[in-house]
Amino acid sequence: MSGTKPDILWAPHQVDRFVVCDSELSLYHVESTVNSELKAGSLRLSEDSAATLLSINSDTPYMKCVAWYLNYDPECLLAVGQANGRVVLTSLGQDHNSKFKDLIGKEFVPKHARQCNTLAWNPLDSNWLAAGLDKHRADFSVLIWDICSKYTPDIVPMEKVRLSAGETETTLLVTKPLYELGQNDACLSLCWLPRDQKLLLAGMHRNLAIFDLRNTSQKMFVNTKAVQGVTVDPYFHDRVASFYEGQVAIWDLRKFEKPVLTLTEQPKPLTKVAWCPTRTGLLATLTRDSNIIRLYDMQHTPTPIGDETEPTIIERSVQPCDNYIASFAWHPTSQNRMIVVTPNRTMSDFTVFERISLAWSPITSLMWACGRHLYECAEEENDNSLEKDIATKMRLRALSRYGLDTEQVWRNHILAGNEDPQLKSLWYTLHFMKQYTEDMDQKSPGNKGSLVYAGIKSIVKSSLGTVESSRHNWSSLDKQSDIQNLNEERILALQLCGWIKKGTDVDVGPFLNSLVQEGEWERAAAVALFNLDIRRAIQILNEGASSEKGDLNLNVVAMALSGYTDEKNSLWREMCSTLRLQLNNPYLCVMFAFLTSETGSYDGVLYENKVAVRDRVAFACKFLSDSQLNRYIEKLTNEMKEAGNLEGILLTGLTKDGVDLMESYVDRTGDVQTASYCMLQGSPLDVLKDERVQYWIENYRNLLDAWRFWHKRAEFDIHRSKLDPSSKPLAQVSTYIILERIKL
Amino acid sequence: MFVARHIPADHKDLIHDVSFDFHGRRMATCSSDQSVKVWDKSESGDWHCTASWKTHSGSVWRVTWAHPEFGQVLASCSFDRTAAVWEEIVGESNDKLRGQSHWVKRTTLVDSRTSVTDVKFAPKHMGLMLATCSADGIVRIYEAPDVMNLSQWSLQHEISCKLSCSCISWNPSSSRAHSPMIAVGSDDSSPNAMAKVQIFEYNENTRKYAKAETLMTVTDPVHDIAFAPNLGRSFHILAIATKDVRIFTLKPVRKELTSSGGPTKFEIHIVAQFDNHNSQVWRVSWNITGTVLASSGDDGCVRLWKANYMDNWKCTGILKGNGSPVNGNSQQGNSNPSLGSNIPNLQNSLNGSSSGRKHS
Repeated sequence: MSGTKPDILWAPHQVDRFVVCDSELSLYHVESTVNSELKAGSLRLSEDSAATLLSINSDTPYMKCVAWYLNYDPECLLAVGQANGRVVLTSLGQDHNSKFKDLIGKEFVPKHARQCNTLAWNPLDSNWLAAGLDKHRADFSVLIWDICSKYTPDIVPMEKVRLSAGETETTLLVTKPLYELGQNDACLSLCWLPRDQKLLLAGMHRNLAIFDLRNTSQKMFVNTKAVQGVTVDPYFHDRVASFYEGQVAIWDLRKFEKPVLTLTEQPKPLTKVAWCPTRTGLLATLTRDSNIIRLYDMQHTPTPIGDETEPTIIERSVQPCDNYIASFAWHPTSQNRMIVVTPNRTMSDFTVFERISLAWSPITSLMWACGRHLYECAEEENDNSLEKDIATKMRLRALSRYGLDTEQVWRNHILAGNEDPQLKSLWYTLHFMKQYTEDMDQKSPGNKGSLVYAGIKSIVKSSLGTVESSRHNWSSLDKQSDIQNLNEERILALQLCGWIKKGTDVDVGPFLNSLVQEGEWERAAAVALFNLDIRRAIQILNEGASSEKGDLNLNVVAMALSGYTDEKNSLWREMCSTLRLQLNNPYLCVMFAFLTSETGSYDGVLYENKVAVRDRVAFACKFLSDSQLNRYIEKLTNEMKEAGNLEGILLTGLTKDGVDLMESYVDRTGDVQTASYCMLQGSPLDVLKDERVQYWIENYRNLLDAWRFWHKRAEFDIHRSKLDPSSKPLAQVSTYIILERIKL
Repeated sequence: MFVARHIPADHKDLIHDVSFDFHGRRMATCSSDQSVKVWDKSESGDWHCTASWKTHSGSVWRVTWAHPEFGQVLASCSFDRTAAVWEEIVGESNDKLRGQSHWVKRTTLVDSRTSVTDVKFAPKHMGLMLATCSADGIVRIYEAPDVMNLSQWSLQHEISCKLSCSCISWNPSSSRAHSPMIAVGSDDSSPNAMAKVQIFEYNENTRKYAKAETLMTVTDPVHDIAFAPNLGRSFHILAIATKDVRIFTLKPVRKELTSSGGPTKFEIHIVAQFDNHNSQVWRVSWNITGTVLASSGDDGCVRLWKANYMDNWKCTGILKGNGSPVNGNSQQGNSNPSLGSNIPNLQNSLNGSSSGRKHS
């Protein structure tokens, strides 16, 4: 404290009150501000607390140390040690009817005036107050006062007692202490030992001493420099901390010869050390000119009883504020809570956090332990599905029988929640593959069927070297001399892309109708255009503009489209090729790219990443020559594999390439469920035997086990054994159930 | 996004570890009060303590479950220099009627001469094995050769790490392409700049564990370490709690070229490093798919981390250690601007990738 530096104390009982003392005593009341605004005149202590000044007491000059009376009554009674060695009892309370109010204003006067360094109330006998004083020749330096002592020659009648110290000064003096100890010495710090009312630990000039009041002629002592700030661990009554300069010494009173431990020396002198009153083995320390409280978490310190155990001490530091800290005080009951005060009297209230241990449960709830408390945290069920993690998604998808619709294969994307365009593309691809495989098997039971599942890349390759395609001439649009003769393979590719239906008719009509029905005007218009039906494209755009959900601007696009001219240097062409980049919709963009492109160069369409892979591939099948097509498909396949983009399964099919692609997908998403079901859709056995595929399946089954989805796993295993008869999982299922039974 | 609720734990001192069984229906906690508690989840989702017993004569640092295929088995480790294996006794007894279960000690592992700081069962496919690590810097791997006899454990391997060990994590991958692997972290705080994470791999030929990697960039004390569930990925993900949260990926370099005898070589990348906990990070834990990481640190908060499709890891949620949302106002952690990023953004970039079916 020493004049300018404020000290801070929590009330021992009224836990929402504290006192700041420097040249005067200021009593504050702490309030939570969680559910209320900051009141006028109150000071913010933390995010959720504030303090209001209740009263100020400036009756006691020359304060050196302060200790809060441990009884409830009288309210807010403080012992103040002064520079002249006197100890004054003063109150900040509002209650004037206390039956002990005669205590207020009492003064305890030593024989010789010198500074009072420390005060300590006896925790068991609340009327005993120990005061530690500087040395004065051969006089005693530790005085124990009984505050109820009436050893004053003339007590004034009760009715004359006033709160004002000035008037009562002469009448409430006590000059005879109960005990006098530490002769010819100085006392710097004091604390009562909780195990016995009559034991007092004192930091004397050059030693730590334990005084036994039952026999004051004897004392136990140990020579040391660490005599400041003696304090007993409230949870371990034999453990004591004291300090000297930057060093903290930890003592065990059962083996009081030397410290059991000294903590790493700090660069600046310490000003305060204090054990946390709400948990074991947490010591807070503060040095001069520092904004950091250093904490030592002593789960175990060596004991003289046990053998040479190594101490487990975790050192931590907290920075409660930016300014230097003058003093701090642990809250007596709130867990790990502390208040600090800076030299200019700003205060802050904060909590030292325990090490939190945590664990995820398989069903995505998180449990953690903080101190002695447990908290469980679960994802809310009604969460927007977009935010869900793949773990939750897979679990919900398993419940909705995702992957198990083997008839209407495309429906699996609906079962997956109809939210992921890649899954939609994947399941449509697998649907078409299944459909055309069956188709082919019916027509010509041969090897063509397996080709379908090998993807467009293989299909296109298989057509290489066959008859070089000749070129068609289409009347309505001149430039489209590029349109390729559609051989069997290209037709199959277009079918897999979904542009045309079963049969030999190359008619995109039904596909356009379905797109229009789903409101995908731009895409429908683009597909119509790529099939060289510019009228239909314009008609679709008009339809889109006039529909409820459609965009009126589509009319403008239709207008622009209708102005199409194949004149190479026309204004139309010039404007369209520059302005098309400003179109937001990728399909509108590629329509103009197509119309303004040079003959035979369609990069503007082929490499527009926002256009679905199936549309780009279908486009390529229509307009690229065999060698171009082959190169394009090769390039696109590698791109898809690299990105783990499921749209690429259209190209790779369920081949080794497909497994590579799926590997990147799993690496990226962790979605082993889709990987397993996809590969079980129609992969040839050698692909199914790929270590990676087996590993995904194993991991997915493991997830189903963890979630206790026994039936789902049985279904999965049956599904699996249809394609891969070598997998015999059923025996394991039953053991699992048996184990479960044992548990129940 | 997340809501927390308090569960009365009734431990008399600090809780050091929480652990779920394979199904997430049972939980174990351990504490400085020298006890372990087992909790069972009721149909209504509430947790009930069904067993609580003194396990050690010192703080119990960690508790962990064996795979249920081996029965209801727990392992614990303690400051008292031992690790212990516990089994639940099945049968009708008075305890059972009172809704309490009975656990008996099957073995005490006494090889360590210092505090045993971590204990972990090996992945199921390796059989009934467990690893311990201790302050004297030794990782010990034990095996129960007969899974029916939990009282017999033989010390198979002792790996010297040279530094006081604080945590271990088995690589959970069961792929035949990956050898058994264990990562060890050290909380040695002496001011040397030695690497604090070592990874050991089992060599089929020598039948020994040999050092496969040392993460040279991690030089501050490590408090926790966790391999993510592998889930069919071609690489491993390792989270480390040190002065910050770090996430590494370890991609095995294909073995075809290297001789099969030597240790696997890895391409190691650090994919995330976050100092949002301000100071020390205490624990890291992966969800079941290895896609969300939870961490706790000196700021008294639990944070959730998740990667977007571009492998950019972001904080997706913060909760205070006492369960209250940060800033005391919104439960929607991700509407909080202090998070830096939020999931809706992440999803937008995702949808923009290649859908082509959405109206912009």
